[in-house]
Amino acid sequence: MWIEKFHYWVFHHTDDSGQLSIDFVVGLSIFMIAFIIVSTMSAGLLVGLQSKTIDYDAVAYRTGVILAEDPGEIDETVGVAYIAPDRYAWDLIYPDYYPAYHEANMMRMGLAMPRYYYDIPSQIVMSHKTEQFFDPSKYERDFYKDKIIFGDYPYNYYITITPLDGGQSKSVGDPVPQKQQTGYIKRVVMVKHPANVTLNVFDTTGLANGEMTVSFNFYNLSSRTPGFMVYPSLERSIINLTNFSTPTTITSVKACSPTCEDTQPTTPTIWIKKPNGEVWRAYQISPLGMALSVENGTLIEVDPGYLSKRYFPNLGPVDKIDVKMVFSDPTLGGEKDFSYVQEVSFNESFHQPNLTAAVLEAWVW
Amino acid sequence: MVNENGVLYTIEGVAAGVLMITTAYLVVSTTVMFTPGDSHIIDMQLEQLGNDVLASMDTPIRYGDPSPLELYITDNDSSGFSNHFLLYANTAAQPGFGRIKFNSTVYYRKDADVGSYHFSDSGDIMTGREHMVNVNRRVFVKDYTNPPPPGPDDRPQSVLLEVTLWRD
Amino acid sequence: MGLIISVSIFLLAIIVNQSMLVGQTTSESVLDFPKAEIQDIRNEVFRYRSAEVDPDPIQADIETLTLYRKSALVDISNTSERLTIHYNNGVTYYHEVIQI
Repeated sequence: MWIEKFHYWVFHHTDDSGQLSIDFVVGLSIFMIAFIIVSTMSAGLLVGLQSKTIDYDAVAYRTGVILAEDPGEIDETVGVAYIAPDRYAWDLIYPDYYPAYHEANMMRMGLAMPRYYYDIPSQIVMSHKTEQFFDPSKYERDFYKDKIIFGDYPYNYYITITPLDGGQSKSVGDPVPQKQQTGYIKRVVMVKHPANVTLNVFDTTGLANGEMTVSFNFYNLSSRTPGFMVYPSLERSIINLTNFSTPTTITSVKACSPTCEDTQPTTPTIWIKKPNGEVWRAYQISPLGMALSVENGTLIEVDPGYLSKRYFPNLGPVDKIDVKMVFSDPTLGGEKDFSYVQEVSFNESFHQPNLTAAVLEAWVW
Repeated sequence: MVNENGVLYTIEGVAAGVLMITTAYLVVSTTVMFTPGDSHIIDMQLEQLGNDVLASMDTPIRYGDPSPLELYITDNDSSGFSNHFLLYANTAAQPGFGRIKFNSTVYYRKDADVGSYHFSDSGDIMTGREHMVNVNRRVFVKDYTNPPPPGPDDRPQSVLLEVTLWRD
Repeated sequence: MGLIISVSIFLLAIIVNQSMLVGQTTSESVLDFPKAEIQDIRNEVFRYRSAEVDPDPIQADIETLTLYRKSALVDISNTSERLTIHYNNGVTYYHEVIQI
């Protein structure tokens, strides 16, 4: 039906009076529509540039996840030699000792606690990792880009950590531009601090002859839930010596697993920190001809990474490392443990500082 | 049939209709600006922040202790929660992120039913125009000392703390 | 009739256009994946396990509240030598078996 009408309309539509303006309007509209469509689509050509802020935010997010939730990763062996205690311990490779290995083997710098156990809380970071990460003298600016930012585009970054317990905030990177769009992420983390024991140096048994042995029993130390465990091979351990009654000196500090050897001449090693601020390396004290006086409040500090397989290959089957200190006064000494439980009667105590909260922020542009 | 009155015929009517719809569509679609990417970024940042704050608050700071979040819920300490939450959420190295505001509700199971009570807020009233996100945390409550009536059962349980947060 | 058809074509066109505009952004994928949910459930399971209380009512709490508030299915089974956590929100499926 309608098709005949259509044909009629098409073939008999010859009277053009008053129709021209409508045709013109139709044509103009079609042109305008085409023009508008083309111009709208041409804006799409710039989508790649427009979505840069989206990209920045995604990169910032990824950096935030690596810092807050990832322990980081390193290739821990070179050939058969262990250069790191395990594959999470990127922070325990010492640039002054193995600079080339350090650069080449580190894959990511995460601040989180290593994933040894399935029930480690995800938002706990370790304080010595943050110290090392935010140490301005430690790594080059571009090194951070390779290890936490990633991507082919040369992103700029600014990363900062603000402790909520009133501590000083730290940062790495360039100042954030005020006039430019930047990607941003903010993470809240809990920081785990190193544990310490306070030990009574006076020998109650009278058998020790000035020799004091502090035993790091790895098996006993793993008895707490993982978020609150002491990891002697990964964390700093602090031994606080008290109850010196007369002036005395320390003549040697050795590490035993099971045979006793001098501590490392270079970091990581064991340090003697005196209350007046002096810091001495524990390596071969007596051959230097120095009588190193010790007093109440002298700290013996073990660097993170020292009590590990790299320096004590027997670790694993043996599960125990002793630190042996020799004093000139024979009434001092004894068998002690770096453990969660200490006898209160000897004024001895174990102290694990509380976790503290910190805000971690990253800008990328 | 054909005169000079400018009458629209069927095919022209169709054409005109198409033209009008297309024009109206183009006009509306160019003026109404949805920016889906941007709002998702804000959602993502807020959601991550909210989840982080709740997770940190639910971490005991000392071995063997209950978490601060568990204590706030156990004691129904809404101002303690509010101060703690806002301190974590609003601390920033540089200004510009906007102040965080929140409102929270606790959901609990009572036999086969789910009950809830209002827990804590930042003192701000939601007008409905804010762009907000929901985050939640399951909190283990060993012993309710002061359950708000009609309240959850008196037993060790896991409650769901739901926090709605937005920023200026 | 014509008016209804024109208006519906108009609306459809707007909808189609918007859905194409949205695309798949990184932020969206981050929001879609229930990372925080899974971490939260895992954490809660470890928390009540270490508290040494009767696990059954607490598992029922988690399962009921997750279904009611988050529309996700959770199934936890807890024996002395094995812990199974199962999560399904219709899009993401997570299954974890932990040998204690």
